Amino acid sequence: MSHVIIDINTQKDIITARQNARDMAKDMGFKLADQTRLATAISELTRNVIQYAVKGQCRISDDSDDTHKRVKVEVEDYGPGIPDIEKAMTYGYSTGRGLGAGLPGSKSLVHEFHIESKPGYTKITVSMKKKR
Amino acid sequence: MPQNTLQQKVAQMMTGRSKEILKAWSERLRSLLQPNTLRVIGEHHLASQTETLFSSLMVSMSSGTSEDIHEPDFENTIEILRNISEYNARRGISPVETALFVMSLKDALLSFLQEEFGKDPMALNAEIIRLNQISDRMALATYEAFTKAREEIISQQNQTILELSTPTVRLWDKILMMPLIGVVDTIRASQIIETLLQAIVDTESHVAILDVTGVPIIDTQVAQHLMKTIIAAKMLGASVIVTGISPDMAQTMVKLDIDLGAVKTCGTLRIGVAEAFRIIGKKVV
Amino acid sequence: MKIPIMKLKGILLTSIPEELTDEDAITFQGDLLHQVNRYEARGVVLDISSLQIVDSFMARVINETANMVGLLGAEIILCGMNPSVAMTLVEMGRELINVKTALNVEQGFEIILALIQDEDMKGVS
Repeated sequence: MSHVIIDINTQKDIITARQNARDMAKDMGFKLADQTRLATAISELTRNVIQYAVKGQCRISDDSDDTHKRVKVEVEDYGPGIPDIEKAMTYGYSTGRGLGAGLPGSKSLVHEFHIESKPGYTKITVSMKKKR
Repeated sequence: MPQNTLQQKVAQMMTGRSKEILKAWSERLRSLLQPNTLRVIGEHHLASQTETLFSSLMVSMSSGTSEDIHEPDFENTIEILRNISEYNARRGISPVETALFVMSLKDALLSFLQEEFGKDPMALNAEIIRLNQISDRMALATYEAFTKAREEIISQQNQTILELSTPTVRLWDKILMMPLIGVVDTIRASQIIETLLQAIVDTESHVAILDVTGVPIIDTQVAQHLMKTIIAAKMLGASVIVTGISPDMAQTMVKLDIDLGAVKTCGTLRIGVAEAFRIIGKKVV
Repeated sequence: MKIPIMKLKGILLTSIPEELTDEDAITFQGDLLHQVNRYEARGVVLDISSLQIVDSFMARVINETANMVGLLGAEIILCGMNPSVAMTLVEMGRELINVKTALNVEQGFEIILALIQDEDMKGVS
């Protein structure tokens, strides 16, 4: 199974998404600590989708290449977007409950983190990687 | 589809005289390799390597059109070369010797080509050029695979070193000690927390003593790593005592405004252990 | 999902299951507080060893639950946190604050019992 797409509409989907992320990481040979980190980050991101965008999508894929094993997760939504990404990524926001809160925390858990956001569309891409 | 009848002839020659060429190559290779290398690889395995490579090359050259070794025809040959290279790398055989595989094969093929096409200098020339190009690319692939394998080995060894350098000691029932030795950077910090937490779970310890005598520098970053380690251990139900902060360290830490907060620190390990026993005594064991 | 809460020597014992929706978590919080009140429980032993993934929401629920139980006058102890979870919480900056913890339910229970006995001896009811 090289990729999985999960619609994020309900709270149960948060659970599905994070479990799938964990399982994919596990199948690809990532250690437990990294599986947990990834799953936790996905939980945060998909929860944001439910809270602020009502619905979205989570795509989990095996993005490995010759040198590294990489599990990539893209969380997309068509919600209001994050007004000030820079601010949202500072730690001052991390313990709040507002839009984008939890982003810095998620970033610190994963190896690669990329945000694209504008009113009407947000996509956050994260990945865990390890040398083959 | 071969575009070149000369190529077909070469392919035919290789097929027709394969036994001879293989023999010539093997002999040449053996004469060039270090005796130790021969021993490490083993006669049987060496024979298997040369035969497999040769068969594959024969197929590649007879089916291929060109010098372009990236074509699918050559994929198999490259793959075999990579395997040979990796096999050798893991046994500590030098890359030069692995490259000799390719070069000695080229030498052998060259002399056969000269025999077959000696009377047609133009054709011979074309073939020699082609052979050189193929052989160069094979040698490069070999070297690349070798480097990659070495890097993997080094990486694995580094991992082992990381794990070995974060030992935990079971001082007493329910008391764990972890002497931190060396520089605490982000990678090690992660390893340290993991090791410590797992040890706490495995030994069901109530107290973990983190001894930092062997840590040369405690700056803000290191202190942050330490704090994270301590908090994590506490969430597992263990108390943490930090021992081994030297007078110099203490000065630096205060100057840098590093506050370990509520973390219990003791000057020496001895006092730390006494404190650990005190804590155990208070808790129901 | 109804989470069972057991009563033993004035101490409530309960275990959070592996996968809990946000709603279930809040419901659980309410149930627990209700039970603490109803049985005038002196202590709560909360087993979190089944939790493999604890994100900021769950961490907050746990923290809040501990504070709320404290306000009701009972001691509470969290048992069996998974090492991976501990690491993740610390890395995210969402560690539990000022909550008693124990390696497992057995130890947790003993600690709570000891605390209650201490209180009784000092005459605090």
